[in-house]
Amino acid sequence: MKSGSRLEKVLSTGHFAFTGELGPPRGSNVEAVKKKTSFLKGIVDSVNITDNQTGVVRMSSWATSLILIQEGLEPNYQMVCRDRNRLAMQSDILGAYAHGIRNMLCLSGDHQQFGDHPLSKGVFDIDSIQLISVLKKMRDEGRFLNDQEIDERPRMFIGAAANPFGEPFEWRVYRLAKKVQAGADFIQTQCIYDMKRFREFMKQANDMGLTEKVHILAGLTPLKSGGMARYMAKNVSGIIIPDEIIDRVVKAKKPADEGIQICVEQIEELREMKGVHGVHLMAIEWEHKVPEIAERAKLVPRPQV
Amino acid sequence: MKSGSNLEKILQKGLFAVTGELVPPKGNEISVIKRKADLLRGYVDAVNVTDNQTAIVRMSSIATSVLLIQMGLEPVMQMTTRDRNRIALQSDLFGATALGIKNMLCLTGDHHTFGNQVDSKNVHDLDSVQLIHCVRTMRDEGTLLGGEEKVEGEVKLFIGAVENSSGDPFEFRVIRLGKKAAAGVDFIQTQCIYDMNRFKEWMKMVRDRGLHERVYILAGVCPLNLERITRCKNRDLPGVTIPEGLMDRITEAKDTEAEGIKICIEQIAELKELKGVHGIHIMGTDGEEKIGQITKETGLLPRPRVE
Repeated sequence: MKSGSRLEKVLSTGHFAFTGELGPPRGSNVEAVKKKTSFLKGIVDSVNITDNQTGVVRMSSWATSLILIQEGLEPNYQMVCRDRNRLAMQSDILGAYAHGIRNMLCLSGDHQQFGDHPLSKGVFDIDSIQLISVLKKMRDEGRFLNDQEIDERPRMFIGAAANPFGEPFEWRVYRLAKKVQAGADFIQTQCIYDMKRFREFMKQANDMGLTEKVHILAGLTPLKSGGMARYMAKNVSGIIIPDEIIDRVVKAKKPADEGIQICVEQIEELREMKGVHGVHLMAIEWEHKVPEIAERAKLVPRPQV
Repeated sequence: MKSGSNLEKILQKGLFAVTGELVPPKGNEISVIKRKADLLRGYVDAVNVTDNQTAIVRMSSIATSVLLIQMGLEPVMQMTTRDRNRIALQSDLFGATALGIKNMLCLTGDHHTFGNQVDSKNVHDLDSVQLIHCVRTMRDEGTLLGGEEKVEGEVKLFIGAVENSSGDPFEFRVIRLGKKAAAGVDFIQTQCIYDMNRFKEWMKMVRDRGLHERVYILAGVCPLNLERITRCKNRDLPGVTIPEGLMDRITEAKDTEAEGIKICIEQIAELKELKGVHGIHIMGTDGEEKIGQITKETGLLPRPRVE
């Protein structure tokens, strides 16, 4: 075992993993975090805690992760390269581990220009692939980036993200390969709506032997409304929503139900797909719907490991 | 009450405060923190937790501070502007206050080229004065930098900063203190004092500007030893001046360590009587080990309990 986290145990024993996501509040509001966790407890194997996503200031990912641990859930601590240099990152990793955090997701981060502090300095001392390798070095060699020894190494299960949909499409799998080579143990993908294209991506990953080296969790976000579907298709970079999916939601009498139905169908399809070891459900400000989706997709009860 | 911290209550009541310092380990070893916490417990009102000081990677100040709370001590979380931009700083402040941290200290931070990550990018999106202003705005107005939107919950922090009372140009130092006061700082801890005459001169300038009535000033002390003297002679301790008389006392002493503690105790006795000084801040490894002896012999025990 690399970390002994629940997520690692679920994946290494060949179970189909199910992870959720929680966006921290825009302040020190602990109750807001606790309320969101109540919908996820017992439903998912672990919960991603976003790190100032879209460049908007929120409670820090690792502090929110600690609250989750207190509430009895396992966090996937996200860390972006936008806001911290290598000193702060390595220091935060040591602190997070000391407090019981065992899973980490290494990301570059959305550019600060798009957030609520556009004048902030973008740090980008290292990038996401380098962060993966720093974390691996700290864990496996017990050394900092500068080769000095650490007096107790952080045993983290190392995650990273992959976007199968950005252009140029055929390059995406090489970026995945770089992350695998740098030391990623698991991958969570950008949200998938275009299943055909995702199948192609997975075929490439299988052909290159990547799926034998890394656990891939397919990312999903249920569509709440036709407006959301249209907005995301048009404005969110790196996301493709096929017209027939938009039509299904737009024309449905109850668009939210239809969005959930599409999500459930996707999970059933992903379960059978070679190389996919789980799903990552990003129910943005819709955490209370996660139990329903899990039930309909037969993802609960979660395995005991 | 701005934060309701123990340190704030003691200073507000006009009691002479004592703060100590704890340096986090270069790893995850919690037992190191526990051992140091045991040395400090009962002798100080709050404990500074350094933030990758001298740019050497250690466990983060916030994580260590949270561990100290669990161990029954009150932390003063140090935060430098070297390693984090305004997004991370403000985000970490939400996290720190949610986890029970009530005191913080705003610092610029030692330059990374002096540490063990010399190729690191230094961030310095904000400087220490701007960080003070940023925290004060979050606490008193409930808004983020440059934003109108109210934050969820309250960011109750007792805001500290440092001041070097001895660096050159000497007459500029107090102007810098004035900037920090204007930005909204509540308390100041000074750099290590060895030259008492120079410190007294500085305090006079502070009083002339009325700054001692606007902020609480904690005088920094650190037991003198041979290593510090060598570093000072090699110009390796910027902003610290050690009078020759004190150097001689250490180098000529039979037991240099005991002499260093003795000097420290004499200094504290003098500082207690100095107008405008509201407490002391004891630093250094020797300070950590000898804090019981130092506080006892200067009549600072038992530490007051305040409601």
